Amino acid sequence: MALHVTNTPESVEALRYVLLISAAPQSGEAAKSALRFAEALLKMGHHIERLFFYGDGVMNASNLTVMPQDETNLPAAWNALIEENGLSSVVCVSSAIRRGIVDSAEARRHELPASSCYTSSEIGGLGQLIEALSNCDRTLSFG
Amino acid sequence: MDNQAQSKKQSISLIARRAPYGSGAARQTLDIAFAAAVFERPLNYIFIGDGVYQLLSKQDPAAINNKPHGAALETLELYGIDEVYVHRNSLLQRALNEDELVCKVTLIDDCALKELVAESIHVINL
Repeated sequence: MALHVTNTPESVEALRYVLLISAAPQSGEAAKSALRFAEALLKMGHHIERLFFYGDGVMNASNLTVMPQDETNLPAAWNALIEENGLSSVVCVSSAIRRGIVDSAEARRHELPASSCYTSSEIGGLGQLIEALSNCDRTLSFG
Repeated sequence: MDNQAQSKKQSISLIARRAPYGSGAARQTLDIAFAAAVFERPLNYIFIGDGVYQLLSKQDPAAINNKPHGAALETLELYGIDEVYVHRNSLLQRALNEDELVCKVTLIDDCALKELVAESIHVINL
């Protein structure tokens, strides 16, 4: 994506953003746009208060996705962005378990053979979305 | 920050624009509304486009193994969610009447819709 940044990060008023991602990585451009938007925000010196993965968007936290070498592995790219920048990332539990996205605690609770969620994201509830909304300046939904 | 600014800072607009079945969007929007209500955050629940079908009182989705979405929306008032807005033209375009809806709503035109969205700090569109 061509990003034309005319202001240096120092001259931009830093804002706090919440991104709500409700599209799966393979269903169109929404999740990819969200990732690019998140990268652009950080590059411009803004703060990401929280990423919240909801509905089909929870598939972005799957650590079981395999892509051909010349295509972007979106869940892996999210994981790298979250880890490198220490972002808060929450995956909605009710969306996640019905799609087979579980961390080791959920896997144990439901007696499943494996976990499938990157540990850089936390499995949580909608309360964490509402809480983050009260602490941010902007909310964007991608879905 | 004064009280008005505080309430604006926290005001959330949820825009429901999809039909009740065929995707999880309607239910997902409702779940956010319930969560906001539990945390006592001011909320506008706005129905536009095919989203107005969510509010129809006579829904019987048993044949497709779904629970009626209208019945869930009937409980909004119990959760203290009374800012329910319906885009008037969306109803008209679908030959629907206000009295076919499950709860008391405020009909709004394009201008009022624009103002509601503009005044909200958070707009969630599913």
